[in-house]
Amino acid sequence: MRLGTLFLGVGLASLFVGALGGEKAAQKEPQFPLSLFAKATEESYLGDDACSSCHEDVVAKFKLSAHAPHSNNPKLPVGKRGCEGCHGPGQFHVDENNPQVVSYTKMDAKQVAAACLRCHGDTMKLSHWNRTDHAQASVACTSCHQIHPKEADEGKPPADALVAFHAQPTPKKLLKGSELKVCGSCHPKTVTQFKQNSHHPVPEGRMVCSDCHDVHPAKNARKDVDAVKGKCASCHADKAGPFVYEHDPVAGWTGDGCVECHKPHGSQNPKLLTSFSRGVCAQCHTDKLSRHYPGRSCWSSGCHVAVHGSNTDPKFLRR
Amino acid sequence: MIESTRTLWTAMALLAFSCVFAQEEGQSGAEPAAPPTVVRPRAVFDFSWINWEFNGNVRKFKQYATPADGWSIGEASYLWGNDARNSHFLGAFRGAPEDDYWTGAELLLFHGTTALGGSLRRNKFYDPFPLFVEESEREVGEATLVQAIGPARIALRYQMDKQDEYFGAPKEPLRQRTRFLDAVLGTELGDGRLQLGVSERTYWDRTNVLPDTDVVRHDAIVSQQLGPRLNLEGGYLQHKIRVGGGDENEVETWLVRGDLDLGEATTLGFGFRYEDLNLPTVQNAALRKRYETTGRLNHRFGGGWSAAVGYRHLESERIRTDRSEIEVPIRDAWTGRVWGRLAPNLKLSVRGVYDHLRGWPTVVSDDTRALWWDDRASVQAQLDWFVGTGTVYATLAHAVNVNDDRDATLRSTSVALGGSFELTDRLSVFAEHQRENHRARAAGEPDFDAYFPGGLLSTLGVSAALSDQWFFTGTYTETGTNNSNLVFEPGGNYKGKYWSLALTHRRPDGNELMLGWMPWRFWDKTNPFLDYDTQAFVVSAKMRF
Repeated sequence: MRLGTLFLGVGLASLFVGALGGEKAAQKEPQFPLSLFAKATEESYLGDDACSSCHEDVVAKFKLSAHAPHSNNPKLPVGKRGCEGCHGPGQFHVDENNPQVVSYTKMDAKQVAAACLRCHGDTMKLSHWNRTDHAQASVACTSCHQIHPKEADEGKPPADALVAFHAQPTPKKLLKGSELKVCGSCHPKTVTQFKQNSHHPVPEGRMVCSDCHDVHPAKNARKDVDAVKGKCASCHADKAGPFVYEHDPVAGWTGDGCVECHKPHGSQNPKLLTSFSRGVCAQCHTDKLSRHYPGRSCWSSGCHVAVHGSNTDPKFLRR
Repeated sequence: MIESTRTLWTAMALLAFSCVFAQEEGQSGAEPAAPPTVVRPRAVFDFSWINWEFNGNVRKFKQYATPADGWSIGEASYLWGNDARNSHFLGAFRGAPEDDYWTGAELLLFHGTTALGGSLRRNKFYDPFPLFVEESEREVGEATLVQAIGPARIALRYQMDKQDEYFGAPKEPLRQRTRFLDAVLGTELGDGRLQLGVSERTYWDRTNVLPDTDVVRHDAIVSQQLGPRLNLEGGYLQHKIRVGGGDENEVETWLVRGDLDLGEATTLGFGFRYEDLNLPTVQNAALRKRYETTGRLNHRFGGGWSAAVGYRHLESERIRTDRSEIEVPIRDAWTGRVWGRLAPNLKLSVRGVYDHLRGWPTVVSDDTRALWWDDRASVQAQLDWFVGTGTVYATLAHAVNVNDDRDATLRSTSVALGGSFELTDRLSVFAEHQRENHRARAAGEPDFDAYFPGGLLSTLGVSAALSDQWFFTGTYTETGTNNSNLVFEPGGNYKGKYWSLALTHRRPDGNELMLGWMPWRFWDKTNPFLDYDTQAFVVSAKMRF
């Protein structure tokens, strides 16, 4: 209760500070690139044909992008339509004295997010984005997403030249490549862990990073329906419970849940375990390592076969 | 049936093959080809023929999935965008119908305001057991519909996950079905967002060991920008869980979180979460309430340096097994992170965590000492060095877990050293080495350390453009452990060596022909019945239309 009161206090104080700053900020002009859209009039927008007169190739290829049907919707306001919906009013771009364009290769991550979230507000708002780890590490939307259809690197070796497992999902629309490649471009160490002897089947195409990680809210519905054991239970539903006899670390009552015993990306131990055989149980039950029915692991010996929880036995001897 | 399918595939492949190389012959004698310009094609047909020369344990080899064998489709896809640009279709198939495959399609209609999607994935695999185990199979089908209505969007999803898994004795097989039904409404609301959702997960165990379970979740999350500095988000989630024909369990969650700009360079993030759990199914010990408070202060200094400090307080009310008492375990965690550039081309990130557990529950087994790590501390430093067209990275992490009551300590150290370089326009290489070591000690248990083996993993690769049209790619990965394996359990002491080498010819029109060789070898030093030794010869062609 005392924590609740503390939190309420912080919340109210925040509201007060926020309200104080509100009036001051209301007078502020929006920053680039929103400033460019803010000062545009309907006449500032020239239409895709005008863009095509200089960028014919780019405009033609954009037709194959999954973004194209959205941005060419005539029901959209003119400032959110076509090339200019993302790149800013054409009139400002062709201004000989001060040509201005919203270039996604030249803006920083926050500016890119501000531009993209002009239209994607139903998915998330800029403030929400700013809270994410990616935003704080200056990772822009365009670091992972590409709006124009990809042109392969000319003269460069093909990506994924040799793949033994062909049953791979098509990368989600507008991603630069497979999630393993996109995420791995910044998290190479994690991708290498998938080469461990025991790993989640990401390289085999049975899973993708976003099955477990929420980079931002997804438009489609979520998979973490379980109340207690989170996303692991969405595939490992037999371990979700609730069981009549719960095992505390699995349920996360007093620890971190599944990751108390498992390393999700990859492990040198079988079954993604953090330690080997009886060591997994002995990290808590130190007294059971060598004096309690010594031999193979506590579960493969045929005794504690229901370590994730049991409906019939408090010592997890039966499921 | 399988033979006729293979024959059909062979015929299709030969037909496609002859088309491609008929074109090539027609062009022979022409002027030297220009470097290929490859644009995303409307249609891709990529097929392979793979021959595995295999010796050893097929269950270890197919532990996660069944690789392509014989004729297989690397990709057959078609992309369609109509001239009026108001719709878009992408359909694809990958794999082999008799083994593993993935197929999916997505259709955008009415300027993308309606999006229909569907996919079906089937994998066959084995439990990596020394002796015979039946083949396992998992099939996941999914259908989605996303409909935009003005500033709102409704998303519907259906998923059926069928898992038939067989294991080495004594583990019993799983034959389970999980169905997900979701509906989510998301909309802009003022200077914020509203999300309403309902989800249902239904679980059936076809072996009739576990009870059928139905979880229904309702949630509502609203966020608002209150002035320029404060963003607040509030949410309510309710889970109703019915296990078999028993009591209904219910978990209610309230959460508030937000962030407050304290200046141009400083942000305070905060959150509070309260869970009320009513779990009559759980008999041994259960939580009835859980509170979580989090705070994080971020500050960007000059010169590209930033720092963050955070705090998390997790307090639970846990009912003792005999219902005689409420215990209140509390976890406090402090985090800190500093990151920035030591030099324009040298980035450093250091982060640390200290986590303390107090008020742990009373232990009712024969050894009543506390079961949990009560102190956990970790620190990680990462250095990224940008050298010309390459990057070198080094990560050092150290963690210490302590159980004071049992006088047990686990110290873990991991090192990763890697880098990738574009040595020239035509040659790039990457390499990484990871090493992990543990030192464990528990009073009265001299063998404790033996159950925390270290591991090492090395991988390196090269890709080279031999000319404008010829390319070579190669990777090598080696894994191993230093496990003393006192219990002689399989899967504990192994070494794996995996090569993948490919030579690709790309024609000016973007079509490709590839020859590949993959020698893979796995040794289990404790149980040689898990060993395998295989090499695959691959011919594949990618055609774009």
